[in-house]
Amino acid sequence: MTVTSDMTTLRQWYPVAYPNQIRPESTYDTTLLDQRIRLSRDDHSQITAHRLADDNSEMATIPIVQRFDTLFSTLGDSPRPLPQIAEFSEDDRRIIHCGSFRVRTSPCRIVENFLDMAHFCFVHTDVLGSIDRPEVLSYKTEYHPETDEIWAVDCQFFQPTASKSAAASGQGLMAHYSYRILSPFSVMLYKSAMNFAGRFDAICLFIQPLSETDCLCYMPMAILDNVSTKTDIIDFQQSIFVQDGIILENQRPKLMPLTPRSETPTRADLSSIAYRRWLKSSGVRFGLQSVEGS
Amino acid sequence: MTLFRQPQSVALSGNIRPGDVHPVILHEKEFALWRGNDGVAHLWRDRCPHRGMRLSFGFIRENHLKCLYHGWEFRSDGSCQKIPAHPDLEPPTTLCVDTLPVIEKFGLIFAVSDTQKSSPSTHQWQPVRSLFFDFPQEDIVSKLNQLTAISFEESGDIYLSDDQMFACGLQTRSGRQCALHMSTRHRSRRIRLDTARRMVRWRHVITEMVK
Repeated sequence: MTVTSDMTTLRQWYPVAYPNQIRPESTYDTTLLDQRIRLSRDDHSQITAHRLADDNSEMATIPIVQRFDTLFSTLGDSPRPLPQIAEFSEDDRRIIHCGSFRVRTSPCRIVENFLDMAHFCFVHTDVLGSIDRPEVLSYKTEYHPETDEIWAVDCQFFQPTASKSAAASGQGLMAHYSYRILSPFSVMLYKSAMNFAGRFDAICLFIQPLSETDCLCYMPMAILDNVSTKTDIIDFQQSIFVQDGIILENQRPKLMPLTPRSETPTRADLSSIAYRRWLKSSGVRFGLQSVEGS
Repeated sequence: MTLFRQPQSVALSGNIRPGDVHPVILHEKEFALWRGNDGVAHLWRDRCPHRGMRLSFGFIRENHLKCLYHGWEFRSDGSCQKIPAHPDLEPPTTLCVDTLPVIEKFGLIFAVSDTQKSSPSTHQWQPVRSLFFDFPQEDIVSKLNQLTAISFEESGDIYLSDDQMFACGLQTRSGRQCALHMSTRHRSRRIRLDTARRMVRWRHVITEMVK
């Protein structure tokens, strides 16, 4: 496979590993946008990254930075800066990541699923949604020109078990959400934190597209929870993600179609509509069905 | 939606019970085959018009199919009846799943290009089994005839045995894959099971012949 010629997609930072995946004096090979790359950690714990040639030899160096407890790299010149997420610097938060999940579909489908509240009661039944309260109340989307981000705000949904800490209380609650689309293939949500009135957990989804229809998903979180164990929190997030994986790998086509009438949205899909429109205006082609192919 | 000149057998009637939904591949396209609690079989494109989720993962409520992803509920004619996220919203009439007409006869379900009347005798026929092959369907019945004491004759879109006790339908899954579905009106469970067991051997021998 050749690396995409889609410049918008090339000029982004992508997660490529968690720091603890690369042991001292060892290497870790992976793929980014169909380009094979190698991460290496030297005996001073410094990490470098290279493109790999067909014969596995190391070619040009590519940049690597660590943010949100995750390593990011890019194949493009002057990439769009990584987002500012203040919650990751707040002292009373726990920074936890939940492993990386392989999902064989387009990164666009994964972002859209993350933005979607209407599936909670059908896919995450009795956890993030209750089958007898499926209604998605009206919310708003905003474009923030200074950061070129799309936000969905004033979102709320009734949840029987909104999080690991909420599960302990044994009763449902109206969870409040905001979503931020941080880049074409990364998104995050703020969700009302149990026992911390007025504050929100920050949960990110950064996607490493191996190819157009094969992705690794990284979910670093900055959360407010001084009750649950780390294992409990990871188990909760992983059980949610497993349920989404079944949906994501069975959407057809895998590449997201943007042509009118190929997929019919409803009011609850306001954020998805804004995302699709923003992808189109940003010139993204990667992960999308080409117009000729539809 | 019309895709085939020849009617295609997609499954054995007795294997799709009321409330069941199965994925089916015809000419490289994915379909959801399901049966409502009223006993009527349906063949739909395996794709929800909302976000493309495969409807063969959905579930049957009475005579409607609900998509697994967002619970959108579709009537037996393919039109959308309900969007749970918006209980007060009347779904637009244009919101509709692509459907293919099916008929049932000789214990087989056929995708047809237009709706014909089903044979009323279908309930006398019982499923034997379906075989799936990794090669095109040309001559598959003549190969079967070489192997078995039963001789099948083409009769319209189906193949009937000399004694009219067995029926076969063929399915083109792709240019390289086909399926054969066999039913019988033998009442004897032993004959059905014996034939089903022998079919597994035939599958092996026919695959060797094609190599």
